Amino acid sequence: MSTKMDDQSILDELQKRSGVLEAKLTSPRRITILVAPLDYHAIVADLAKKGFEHVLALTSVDAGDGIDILLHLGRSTLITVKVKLPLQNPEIASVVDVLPGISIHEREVHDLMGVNFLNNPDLSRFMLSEDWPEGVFPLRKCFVPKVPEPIRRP
Amino acid sequence: MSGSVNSGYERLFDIPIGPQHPALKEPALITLKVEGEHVVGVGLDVSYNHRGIEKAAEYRTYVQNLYLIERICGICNVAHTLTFTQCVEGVQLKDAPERAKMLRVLVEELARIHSHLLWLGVAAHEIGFDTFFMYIWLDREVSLDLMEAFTGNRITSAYNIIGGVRRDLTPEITAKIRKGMDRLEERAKFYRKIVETEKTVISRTQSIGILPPEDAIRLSAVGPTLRASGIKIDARADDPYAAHASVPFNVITCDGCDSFSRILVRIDEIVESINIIRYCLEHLPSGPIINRLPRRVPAGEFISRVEAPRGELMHYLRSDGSDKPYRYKVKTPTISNLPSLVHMLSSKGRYVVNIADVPVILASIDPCFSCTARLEKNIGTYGKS
Repeated sequence: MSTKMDDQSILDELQKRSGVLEAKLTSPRRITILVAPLDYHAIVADLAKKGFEHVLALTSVDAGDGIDILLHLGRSTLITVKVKLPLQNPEIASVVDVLPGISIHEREVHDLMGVNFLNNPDLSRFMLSEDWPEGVFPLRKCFVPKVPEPIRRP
Repeated sequence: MSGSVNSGYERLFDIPIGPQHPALKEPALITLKVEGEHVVGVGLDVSYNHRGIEKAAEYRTYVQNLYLIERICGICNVAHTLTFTQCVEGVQLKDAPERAKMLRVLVEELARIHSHLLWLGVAAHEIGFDTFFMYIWLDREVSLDLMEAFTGNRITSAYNIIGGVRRDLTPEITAKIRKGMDRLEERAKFYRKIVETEKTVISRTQSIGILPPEDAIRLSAVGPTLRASGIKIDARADDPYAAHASVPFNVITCDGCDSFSRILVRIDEIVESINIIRYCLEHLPSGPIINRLPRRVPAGEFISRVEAPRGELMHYLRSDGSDKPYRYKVKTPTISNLPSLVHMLSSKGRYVVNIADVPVILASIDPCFSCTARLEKNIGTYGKS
């Protein structure tokens, strides 16, 4: 279904949807929508019903003033659902009930960026090793890795 | 875990496979919950070769990153550099020249052939058919020799660079590739015949690792795993990149939904890749092979999607105007296939998975844990232990 519709008609439909704060076509077949954290679950459930049920990826970005969660959906035209979360205790509703394929992606983001996905039944450690300290999230900008000294001949 | 298998056993046992195990080519921990011989549940831990590449990319310039990103995965390095260069070009709103795009397709398909042949060999080995494995890897040398002649290296080719490609095609190499393709086509057809008729292959793969189409869609499966469930989805066709929009090809599917169909899909994809390479050699446009682009990239974001040999590969770039990425995200095909793998490994109702089937099912998705697991972590706790 998603392949049949062209970018413009998808964009028009998304702009009309309540809860979508901003929708734009960033490049051919790439649409980005900005939604409020509270509307996130409803809008993703709606998109999944309309044929955007393929989870391409779940990206998290430490934007400095908060954490951006980007959910990329779709096989042909790609809809990116963008949510802005605060840096302190970032929390968002999990969409694992409507998109089962996202479970592993949510675990990854939970591990590396420290975002808590409410109602996700399994947020156990997935990416990091078992001896990694709790509460240290390597993809946050405040985590500065120690770079090993270059090895030089004595 | 569903206890719907009527094996007469009352207790569930946990059997760990890995992290080091003869059936695994890469470290991963698969915890099987078994009821007698039947696997009823599975836990996956793939965090044994996390190398922190996403974080490391933030500390390197775009040119340095090209070689870092290539090393995410040795086998699909061409797909990774292609996705990366498309991201960097996309943020700059520039494009590679037409000739470079066609050459990118050519080398991508050459890499797909060698990846599929490698996988086919591994699958034959998992089945216990080692003669087949040796034959296949002998023929894989043909594609690797072509890769070396064309790009200068057998595996990590560093062929795609920001703005274009590194080397042009010479008439001698063209002739070599044509000759190599003829041989590989003949061999691929021979392999298809073997797979279809050899009892060892059929009895070890048919009706094993069933993934029904509705589950494949629901669990966001990608690549040959998805296409072997009869779903005609391929990023090359649905979201064309490089020169794919102008190169005709068929999306290969198979309706069997089992490990056997995954073998057939991959063999047919080899033949399809051979045809794409021949088309590219015939229709190669003339012109330059590189657009020189500035080292600093303007602020912006871009998502690039490529059909890697294992399935859909996605890179996301957010730049801030400097010469280093602000955030680089990599989503590899194997991570998308893990939910499907867990689904295939769990017995449900009349669908029964035996412990002996586990290596075959695992191999059937063509897992690449060094891609999947460890794309991002810190680069800096060495020596801290």
